[in-house]
Amino acid sequence: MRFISRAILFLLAGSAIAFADGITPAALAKDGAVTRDRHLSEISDIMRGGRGGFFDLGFYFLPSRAQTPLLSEYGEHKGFAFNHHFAGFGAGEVAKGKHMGALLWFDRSGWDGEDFLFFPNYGGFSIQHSVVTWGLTFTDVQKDLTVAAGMQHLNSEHVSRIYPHEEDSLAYTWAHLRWSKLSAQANFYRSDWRLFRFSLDLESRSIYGGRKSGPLTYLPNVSLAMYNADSENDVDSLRITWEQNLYGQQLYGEVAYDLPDGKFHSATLKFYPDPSRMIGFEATCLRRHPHSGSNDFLWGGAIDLLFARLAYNAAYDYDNFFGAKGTFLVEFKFNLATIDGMLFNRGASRSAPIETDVVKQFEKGSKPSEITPLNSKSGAPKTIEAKGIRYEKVGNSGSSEGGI
Amino acid sequence: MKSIFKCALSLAAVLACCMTLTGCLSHWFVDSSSRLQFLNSTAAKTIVGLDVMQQQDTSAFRTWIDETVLPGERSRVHEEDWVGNFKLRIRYTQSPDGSGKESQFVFDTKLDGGSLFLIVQDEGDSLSVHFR
Repeated sequence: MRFISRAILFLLAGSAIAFADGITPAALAKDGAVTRDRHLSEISDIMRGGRGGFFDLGFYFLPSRAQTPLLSEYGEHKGFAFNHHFAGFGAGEVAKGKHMGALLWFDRSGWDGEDFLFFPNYGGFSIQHSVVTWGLTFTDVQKDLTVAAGMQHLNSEHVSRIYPHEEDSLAYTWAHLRWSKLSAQANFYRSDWRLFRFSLDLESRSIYGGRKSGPLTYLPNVSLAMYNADSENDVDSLRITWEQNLYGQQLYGEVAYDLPDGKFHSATLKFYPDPSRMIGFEATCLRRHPHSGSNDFLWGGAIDLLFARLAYNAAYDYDNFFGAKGTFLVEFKFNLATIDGMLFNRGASRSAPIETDVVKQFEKGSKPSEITPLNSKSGAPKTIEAKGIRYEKVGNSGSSEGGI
Repeated sequence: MKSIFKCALSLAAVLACCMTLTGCLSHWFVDSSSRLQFLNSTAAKTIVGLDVMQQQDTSAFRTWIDETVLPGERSRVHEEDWVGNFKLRIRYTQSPDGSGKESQFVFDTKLDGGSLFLIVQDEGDSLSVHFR
């Protein structure tokens, strides 16, 4: 048994190095655009509620410098691709049913000959850049309306000679509008548009006041994103993403198609043991773009354990971590979203079960005839322990009357 | 309460280990640059330079050591950020004083960083190399 576990560990370590494919300078140079798009896509998820809060912090962990080599025109350079990210959003109620908030998303990514947390080596082949997205939000709960707008800044910290030119700019602006289940997003560079995204989140989610089960939870979430890479006002690429609840908001399928050529981009089967998405497992299939030098299918998967995400050839990492392929990645991270006191992970449909119990207790607490507060002096029940038993019975059976 | 503290402490310890490993600890045993010196151990050939070649186009290169080294002499140590798998080129002449037509010898090599000592020897009209 010990030998088998050691063999598996050895194979994992081997797979992390032996089959790792190089990262191209082109993939690193266009990461600014990819990150800006990802920020807005994540903001779109959080703005489904438009109130509450969100926190995210994480970084990729690569023990070996052979895991993400840089494939330059001179050869294969050993080093570390890196991504450090942070995001925060908080909103408060300024008038009844009206919430105002602020958000900040930050990513620092690139490649360096040495690994680091804060101070890179800035070697002859390294690239470091960061993207900041910030904005202000306003949500009207009665009208089910959210408006958010802000700016994006791309800061090229260090770019060595082998990389293609990338626009270093403070001049990106973005706006997000959500009305009920329909949302639209726009991103501009000066007066040129860069992105329009239209999303239809039809799935009924209990955290936003929808159903916990039933046919309405099986409605799809569809998103159409149009990209324009240059100053001309034509559509350079288009992507349709279809997310579908397959079973009890625990099993989801997600398919992305690239238009106008109608080519398949990726498919993901996601399983969340709990619909709050604290823990997730996914299997992915991605069609590599001919630009990458190959046009094959990449099969992979990932395990998300709240504090760490383990992945091998996952579509998300290929898209967002410079086309990393053939290496075992670990991302240390923590993210949590909250709305009306409920906790969940980004994109979830229901809150974490522990928090649901707390909400039930609060509901019960509002009926003084049934439950007396712990610190009350008069009319308290003879034994305090009895209340604990009462809560537990309410939580388990769902009935309003728990007996002692 | 005690168990929560213990859990948080062990989590912090794991995170600290990972952070040190990604942060700076690996710099103690991993070099991100190569310090290269070569010895011209040929009988009568002069080495006039050493370049890193582009993989796709062998006419494009980046010079690493731009020195004329006579037979029996050593070059100075030149530090560059070449760590990985590359194609190197040695430019040399068939004369002991550096005069005459320039020839070239191209070879693939794997550089792991740190101090490298390259010995260049005769092999007929061409050269042979090995690291020591």
